[in-house]
Amino acid sequence: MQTKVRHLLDIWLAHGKYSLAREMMFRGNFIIWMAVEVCWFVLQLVFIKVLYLHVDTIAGWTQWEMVLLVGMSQWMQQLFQTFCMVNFLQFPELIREGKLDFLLLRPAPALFLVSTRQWDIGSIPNSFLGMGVCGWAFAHLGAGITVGGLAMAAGFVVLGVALHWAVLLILIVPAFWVTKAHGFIGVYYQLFNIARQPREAFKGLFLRLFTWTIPVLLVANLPVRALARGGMPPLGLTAWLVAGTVALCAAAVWFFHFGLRRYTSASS
Amino acid sequence: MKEALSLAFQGWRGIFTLGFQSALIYRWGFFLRVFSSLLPLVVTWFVWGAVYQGKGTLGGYSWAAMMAYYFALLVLDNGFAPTEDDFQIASDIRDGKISQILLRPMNYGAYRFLLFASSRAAHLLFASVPLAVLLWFFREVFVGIPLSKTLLPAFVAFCGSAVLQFSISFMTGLLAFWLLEIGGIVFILFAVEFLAGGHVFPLDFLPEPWRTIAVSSPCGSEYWFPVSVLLGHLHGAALWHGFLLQWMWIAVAFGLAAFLWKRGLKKYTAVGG
Repeated sequence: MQTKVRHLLDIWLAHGKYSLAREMMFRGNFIIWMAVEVCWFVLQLVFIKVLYLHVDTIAGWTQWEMVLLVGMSQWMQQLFQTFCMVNFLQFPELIREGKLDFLLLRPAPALFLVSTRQWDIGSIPNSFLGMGVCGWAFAHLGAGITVGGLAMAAGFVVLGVALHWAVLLILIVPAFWVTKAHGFIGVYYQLFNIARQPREAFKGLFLRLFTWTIPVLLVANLPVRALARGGMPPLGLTAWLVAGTVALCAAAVWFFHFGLRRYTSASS
Repeated sequence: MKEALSLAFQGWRGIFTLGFQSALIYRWGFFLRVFSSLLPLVVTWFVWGAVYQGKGTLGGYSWAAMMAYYFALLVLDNGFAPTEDDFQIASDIRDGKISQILLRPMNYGAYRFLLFASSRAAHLLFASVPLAVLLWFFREVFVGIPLSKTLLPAFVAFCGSAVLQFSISFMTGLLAFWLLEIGGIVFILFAVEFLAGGHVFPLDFLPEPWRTIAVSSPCGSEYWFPVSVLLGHLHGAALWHGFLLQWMWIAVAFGLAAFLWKRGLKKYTAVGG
C-alpha cells in the first residue's frame, strides 16, 4: 500500500515538474494567464466595494466578511485549478480524439491520471493571492487568528477542493456520450459562483438545493462565518458538508467508471 | 449589376445558413450553454434581493428596475453578444484557414459577421422559449418601464452593441497574426468590458468621475447604454448623445480592425496545401 502511494506521489510530482517546464516555454503566456485570474478576482472585489458604498450589510454580512468569503472561495478555486481543473477541461478532447488510450495504458489508475496529469502552475501564486486577501480581510475584521482557526480553515479548503473535483467530474463525464461537452463547464462555473455568495441571501428551493443536495453554499460560508465571528462552525451543517462531499466524490468515481465502460477509442 | 447583386446575396445567404447549422451541430453543448447563461439570474435575484432589503432605491434604481436591468442584459448576452468568434478567427489565422477565404471574392470581415449573426439567431431562437417563460414569470419587474416607447430605440441600441462587440472580438481575433495564443488577452478584455461596461452592476452605482469615464468608454456603449435605453433611463439629448457615442466607437473599432487586418495580412504566410 505504502509503495503504491509512493508510486502515485512520484508520478504526481513528475507531472508537476513537466508542467513547470512546459509553462516556462511560453513565459509571456504564463504571465498573461496569471493576470487573467487576478483581473477576475479584482472584479469581484470591486463589485463588493461598490455595493458597500450604498449599503452597510448584505444579508447580515459586513463588507470585510464578504471580502473574506470571496477570498476563501478564491483560495479553494485556485488550488483546485492548480492540480485538477485544466485536466478536466481537456477531458472531452481526450475522448473525442481517442487520446484517452494513452492514459489507460499507463501503469496507474485511470482516474488519477485523468485528474492530475497536468498542473496549472500559474494558479499557485493566485491561490496565495486568495490567502493574502483572506488575511487582509481578517485584519480588518479584528478577529484573532488561532492555530485551531487556521487548522479549521485548512480543513475546509481541502473539503472545498474535493467538492470542486466531484462536481466538475460529474459534469464532465457525460463527454463519454456527448461529442462536445464544453457546455457542462459553464454550469460548473455558475454553480461555484453561488459558493461566493452569503448563504443567508438565498431562500426556499434554491437554499435547500445548494445546501442539502450540492452543498456549495456551505463550503466557504461555514468557515468564513466561524472565523469572522469566532467560535466553531455549526456541527450539524459541517457534518452534512463532509458527508455530502464524500457522497459526491463516491458518485463521481462510480460515474467515471460507468462512463469509461462505454469508451471505445477513436482510432481506426 | 442586378445579377452580380443577386449572386452576392445568394453567397451571403449560404454563409448565414452555414453558420446557423454549425451552431446547432453539437446540440447538447448548445442547450447547456443556453441553460448555464440563465443560471446567473438566480444569483442576481437573491443577492440583489438581500442588498435591497429595507431599501427603496439605490443608485437611482428600485429593486424591480435592477432586476429589469439584469433581464435586459440576459437578452443582450443571448441574442447580441459574440461567443467564440475571437477564438474562431484566431484559429482561422493560426491554422491557415483564411487562405481559402483570401482566394475567394469575399470580404473576411463580412463573412465572419454573417457567421456571428447566424449563430446569434440560432441561439436567440432556442433561448427565446426559456427567456419568454422567465420574462413572463417575472413580468412585474417591467411594470414601471414604458416599453412601448423604448422598445424600438432599444432594439437599435442592442444592434449597435452587437456590431461594437463583434468589432472588438474581430480585432482581438486578428491579434493571432502576431501572437500564438490570444486566450489570455480575450479574458482580460472580457473582465474590463464587464466591469467598465456595467455588466457586473449598473454604472450609475459608481462614484464620479468613474461613472462618466465608464459611460463614455466603448464598454459603456456595449452594455450600459442599450440596457438604459430599454429601461427608459435616457431621453432626449442624453439618448442622442448615447447613440452618437456608440456609433463613434463602432467607427473607431471598424477603423482599427481594418488597420489590423491590413497589417496582419502583410505578416501572414501560409505553407503547404
